[in-house]
Amino acid sequence: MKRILLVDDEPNLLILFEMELEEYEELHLDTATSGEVALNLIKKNQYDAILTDLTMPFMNGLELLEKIKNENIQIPIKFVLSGNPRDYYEGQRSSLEVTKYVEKPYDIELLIKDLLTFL
Amino acid sequence: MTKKRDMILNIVQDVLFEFDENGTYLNIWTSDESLLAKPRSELLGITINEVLPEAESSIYINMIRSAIKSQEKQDINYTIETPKGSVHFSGSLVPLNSEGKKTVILYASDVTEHVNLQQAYDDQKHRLNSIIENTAGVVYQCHITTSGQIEFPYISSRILDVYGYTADEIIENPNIMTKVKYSDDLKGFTTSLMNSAEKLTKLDWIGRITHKDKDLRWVHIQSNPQRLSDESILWNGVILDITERKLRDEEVEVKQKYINHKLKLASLGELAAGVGHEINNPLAIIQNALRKVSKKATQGPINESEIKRFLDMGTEASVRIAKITEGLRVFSRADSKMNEDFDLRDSIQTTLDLLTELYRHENITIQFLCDEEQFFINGNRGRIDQVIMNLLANAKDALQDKDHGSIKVSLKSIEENCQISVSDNGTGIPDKIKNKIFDHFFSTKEVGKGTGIGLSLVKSIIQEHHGSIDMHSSNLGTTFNITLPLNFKSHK
Repeated sequence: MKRILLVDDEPNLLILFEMELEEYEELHLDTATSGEVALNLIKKNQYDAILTDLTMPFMNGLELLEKIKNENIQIPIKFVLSGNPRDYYEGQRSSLEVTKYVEKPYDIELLIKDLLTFL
Repeated sequence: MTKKRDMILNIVQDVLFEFDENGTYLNIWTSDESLLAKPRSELLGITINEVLPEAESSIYINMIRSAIKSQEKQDINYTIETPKGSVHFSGSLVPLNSEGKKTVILYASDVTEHVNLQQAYDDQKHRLNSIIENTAGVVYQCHITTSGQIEFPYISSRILDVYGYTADEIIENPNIMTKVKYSDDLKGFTTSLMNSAEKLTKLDWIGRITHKDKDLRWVHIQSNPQRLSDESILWNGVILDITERKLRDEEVEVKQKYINHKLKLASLGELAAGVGHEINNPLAIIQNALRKVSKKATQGPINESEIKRFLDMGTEASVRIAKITEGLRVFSRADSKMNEDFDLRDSIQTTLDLLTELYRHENITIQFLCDEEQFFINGNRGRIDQVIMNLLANAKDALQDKDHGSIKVSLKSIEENCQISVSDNGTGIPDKIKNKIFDHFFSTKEVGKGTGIGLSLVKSIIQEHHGSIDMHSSNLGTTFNITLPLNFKSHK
């Protein structure tokens, strides 16, 4: 059983992900609508992958990854999901060890399949 | 007999002299001795030479001799210094032939008062002329008779500088003034002139004329009409050459256009990135919701509430996209005409719909307060949208270092105007730059970020709309207040 954390401030996207993941018994999905909520979950649980939206109020996706890094929390797979072009945060991406950068709009089904290849 | 004659002659108010051909005073009659250069008793028997300066006396002696010789009356004007000041005389030298002696009678009237009046009149005329000729424009009178004939009773000589024709040329051939008007502008002039004649209102026209040397010149004609007793109309006015000013204005306009263009590009670039992101989010929801429905449908029967759930998600997301694209129309409207009646509340709401989501990502909340349903104003909606957009962008920048930024936009009516206020809870504008913020190219932002043309453009757009803008700033935040005239006609 792999544990995944999805962070996005779009509640409907979280719902769509949850529906999709119902089909995957080997995956457990937690969701968070903000970086703060995500941090709390990360401190409590051990995750195999984190998928985070980039542009969010108060704490954006990269800030969240930075906090994770600073707190020495290990999450092997890190996906950044964003409506911005891929090269937007290219510089910061490598230092934060982002596994994959996914541009919105994405196909959730394909995204999950892609994620599975890393897990 | 002589005594009686003398008594009669002495009644004359003026002076009467009898001279011989050498200019000797033979007889003097006057009622007022003060009009004489010397007392009568001293003058009798001496010559003019001994009374007047050589230069003057020789002229008079010559005239006396010429009158005696020709036996014809001669007119004479002269001035003498008397104990009571300069006295001007005008009179005649009349030859007299009596008892074989040829003498001449000088009958002269004191015209000092008349001469002084004339002098004052000449001075006044000279002064007026000097004012007219030194006025930075052409002073003129135009007369249109009841039969429609145009005449120019007076044109000051400056006309030569402006039109290349002399005043006399135009007075003689008034049609020149019509002929030189630039063909595209002539109709407008005729309309203005007719209007002025009909309503007896001031003629105020700006247009182009062709100088005699074929150059186009801009002139500003301002003239007040009056109806004369014969029903004809007379205008008194000035013609100013405003060519240089016009050229300068055009230069400023071109510059402003360039600035507007630059600003539009700058805000477009900034927006494009944000807007792309904003559309991609709901798009992801729509696409995945549709895929999900489609996938479920291929897997077997799918219940209604489940379908509805996906469709509602997609609809909600597409509404968000629609709001964004509606907001983007702001930019396509920016070049449209100035006289559109539109609802300011709707205009602000549209801009806020576009930006609220973008700003939310930067931890900034926008609040919109409005006390009435509609606020109709007249102008260019796109330009007003640009104003709101600019003020919001400035407010956003002011809140950059703030954890919980808040922007308040309010719209209310104050008598015949409406007031838009945009406030932020940032740290305020430093006192020393407060008076510079509306200047062109003044920016506090780092190089590449601020264009320095936002607020100057805002100000010029507001002025274009006959409104005003002011700013209040303290360490608790900054508020911009814009006042614009409401359009009541369209409100009702």
